[in-house]
Amino acid sequence: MKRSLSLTIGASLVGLVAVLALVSFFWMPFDPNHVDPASRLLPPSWPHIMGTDHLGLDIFSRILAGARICLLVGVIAVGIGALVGVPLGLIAGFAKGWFPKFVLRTADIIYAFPALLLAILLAAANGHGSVVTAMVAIGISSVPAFIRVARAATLQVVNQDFILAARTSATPKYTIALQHILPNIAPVVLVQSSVSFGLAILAEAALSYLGLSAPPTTVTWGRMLFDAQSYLFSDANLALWPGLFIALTVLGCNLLGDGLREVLDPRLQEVR
Amino acid sequence: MTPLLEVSGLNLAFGQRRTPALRDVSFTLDGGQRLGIIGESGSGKSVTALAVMGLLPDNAFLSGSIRWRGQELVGLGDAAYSKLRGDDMTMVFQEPMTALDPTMPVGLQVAEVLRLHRARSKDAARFGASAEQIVDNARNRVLEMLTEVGLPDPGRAALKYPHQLSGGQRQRVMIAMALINRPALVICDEPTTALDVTVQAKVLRLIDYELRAVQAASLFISHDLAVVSQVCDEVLVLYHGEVVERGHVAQVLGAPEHPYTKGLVATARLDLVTPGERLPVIEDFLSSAQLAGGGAANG
Amino acid sequence: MSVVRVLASRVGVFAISLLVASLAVFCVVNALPGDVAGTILGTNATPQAIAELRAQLGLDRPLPLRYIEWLGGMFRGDFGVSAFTYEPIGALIRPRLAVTCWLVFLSVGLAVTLAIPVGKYAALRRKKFTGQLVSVVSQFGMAVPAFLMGIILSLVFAVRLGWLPANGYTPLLVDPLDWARRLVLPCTALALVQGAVLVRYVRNAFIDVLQEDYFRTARSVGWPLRAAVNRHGMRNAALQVVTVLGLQLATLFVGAIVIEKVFVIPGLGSLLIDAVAKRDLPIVQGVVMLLVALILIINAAVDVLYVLIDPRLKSDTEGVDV
Repeated sequence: MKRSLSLTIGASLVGLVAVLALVSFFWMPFDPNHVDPASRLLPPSWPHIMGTDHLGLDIFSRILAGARICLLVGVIAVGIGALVGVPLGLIAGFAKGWFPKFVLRTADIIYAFPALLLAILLAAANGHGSVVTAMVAIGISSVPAFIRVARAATLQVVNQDFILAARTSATPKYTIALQHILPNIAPVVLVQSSVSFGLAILAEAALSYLGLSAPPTTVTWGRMLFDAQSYLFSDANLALWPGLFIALTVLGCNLLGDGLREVLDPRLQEVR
Repeated sequence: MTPLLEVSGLNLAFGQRRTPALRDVSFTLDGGQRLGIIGESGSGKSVTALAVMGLLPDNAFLSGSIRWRGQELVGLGDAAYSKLRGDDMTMVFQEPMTALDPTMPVGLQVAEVLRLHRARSKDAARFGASAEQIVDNARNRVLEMLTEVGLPDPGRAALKYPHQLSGGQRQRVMIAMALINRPALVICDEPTTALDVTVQAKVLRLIDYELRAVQAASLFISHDLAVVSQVCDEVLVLYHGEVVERGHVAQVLGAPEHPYTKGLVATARLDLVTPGERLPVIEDFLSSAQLAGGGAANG
Repeated sequence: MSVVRVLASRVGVFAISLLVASLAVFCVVNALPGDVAGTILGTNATPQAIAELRAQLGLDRPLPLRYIEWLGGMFRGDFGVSAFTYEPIGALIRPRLAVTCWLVFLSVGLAVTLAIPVGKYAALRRKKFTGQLVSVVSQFGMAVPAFLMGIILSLVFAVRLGWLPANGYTPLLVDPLDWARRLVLPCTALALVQGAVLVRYVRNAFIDVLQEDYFRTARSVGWPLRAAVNRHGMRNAALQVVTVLGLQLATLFVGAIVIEKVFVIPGLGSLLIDAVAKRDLPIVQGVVMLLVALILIINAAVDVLYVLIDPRLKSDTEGVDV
């Protein structure tokens, strides 16, 4: 396999977040929601290695706990996007007649509902925002990208000789789709998943910041940023850590996507 | 007298691994002379042409000497090189489908070549002309050129975009672009390979005629022996980046000396094969040492 | 296919999309349990009181009828009234739409003027250190949420350096200088983040162009590198970038919502967020529909622009070989 610096860095960053989330289930230095007025706004020091916030909450513990929501939102949103988008895109690339057109037009319409707008709409209809409305909104809004990517990849594969051979040998359509096309479009879907994952984390952060995602008791990095805003000018430390971790995770996802593309898609290797 | 083009000891390698593409290639070309370069794909034909034009990709490492009318071109700056390109030395590419800018009418693309090198300096000096006159002159010259290369209804054709023309018509436009400034050297890189067989002959005849008309020298790159023997005086055989044979077309193709050339000639003469017999392949003519030794690749 | 037919079919698709989108917005807002009447009167209200208010607000009538009325109203510029203040929503939206549009279009202008030269530079020098540095910086730029960029900018330039106001808005006609001063930071925040994405696309578009055969032709006829890029690269790269730019405009309208919150700017975003907090559903419904419509309009406009600048889409006649 070709080596790629982007892939290595990206995978390491995403891996780091995954490790943080895993660790948080077994061990956290402090209860992330334990208010301790005696130790408010401490600078990074032992035992609070990233300091404490305005309520005396340990920032490191909250970063650990926040990694869970961050990954959860990414996984669920990308899951919705891929599970809905890939089959639709595949069929749209494979089938003939009105259906592909219908799928594409629908994708265009969903595209006019960005994650944030959809989440706002759901939150308003629901009475309040929650992690669930955020995840669903982000997931739905990532569907069109998966449809387009899967369709484009299917169109490329579908006219290749081995598919035509399978078609002429009267192999059932769903067998062709599952056995021949799906493995061939998997790389692009993987790349898109990685990119969408990063976008999902950005969208969740923005929603948390607007107070439209998790309730105050749930620890998320976006929420931490929101809480930190009033203390920005006296204690930038509060905003530094969640901001840094959001940026690093998204950077990791983007680099992972780039790296996967380099490794999996030979056409993008620079020729000449 | 200094030759028009003198290439000596040219070595070329690509990428960080320095994959060699040309090894110690030398040849000279006098004014009006036509030299065919033949060899299989990957033998270094095209990169030789690009090296002369100074259009090698960034990852190419070139050493040796290319002299143009005695002036060294290896290491020449882009600005100075650009004055030569399109004016004194031009090139016709293989892919007529993609070699023209899809967003610009073809007449404009031809006119551009003229204006880029002429309108400001030579025309203005010659006519002492105003801007409008120059544009007028340019337009007339472009139409004249498009007529000459045999585009039907040149006035209308000039306004068309490349996708509205056929492959043969596009290649005619390319030839017009290459010849409008009456260059001293036209490099043709497989100019007919991508065309239909029926169109090939017509375009080849056009190139032959046009080269004669402006008395331009030519480097004519092809893998097709028949094409080279029609157009060229001399021929150079490249094999794995090395010159293995050079001489008059009739001599080289009639009595090839190098085993590779022998193979090339034999594989092209299918009429000599007894029906039922296995067709000859180039490897039949090469010793195992020659097969193993040729490590240079990448065209 | 002629240009006219392409455009006509595009307009048709746009109209249908708008209709479907409005239906979606209406359904999400109205189909879920609980409505405005309950919210206004609170949890202690008697069922009779709620029913009375519902009748008064017209909420007791069948959904399809209400949908058609809402839709018809919007065509006349009537978005209904706020559930709390009974102010006409159209009047609330109008000045705020102008604010948001200023924010978005100035940002996109700034992002484009930054991204095109920078992306072109990164493409031309992609093998050199400076070119790769641009790529790395743009990667970081893409990873920072716009609101975080806004917070950082206001922290540095408003709080620490005191060069610019940290928040607020002054209408252009009231005080043009103050208007500009207050828009600098929010626009920069949006433009930097979107610009980072754009730089990548511009860079890739130019790298594609540099490897095209027609670019090699342009070089072979004597265009020096930079002139060849400008003359034969720009338009072809633009074809790719225009599409992305349309998508960018759409995300900018959404990004503006968050930035307005950071910089306390009275635009559509703050109207929308306030309405969500108060559960003023008619306002949410109206503003979301307006934003969705804007995004659809932009997408349609990009398609049309694409047809206009790409000669290949105007006609597809092929010549005959001679």
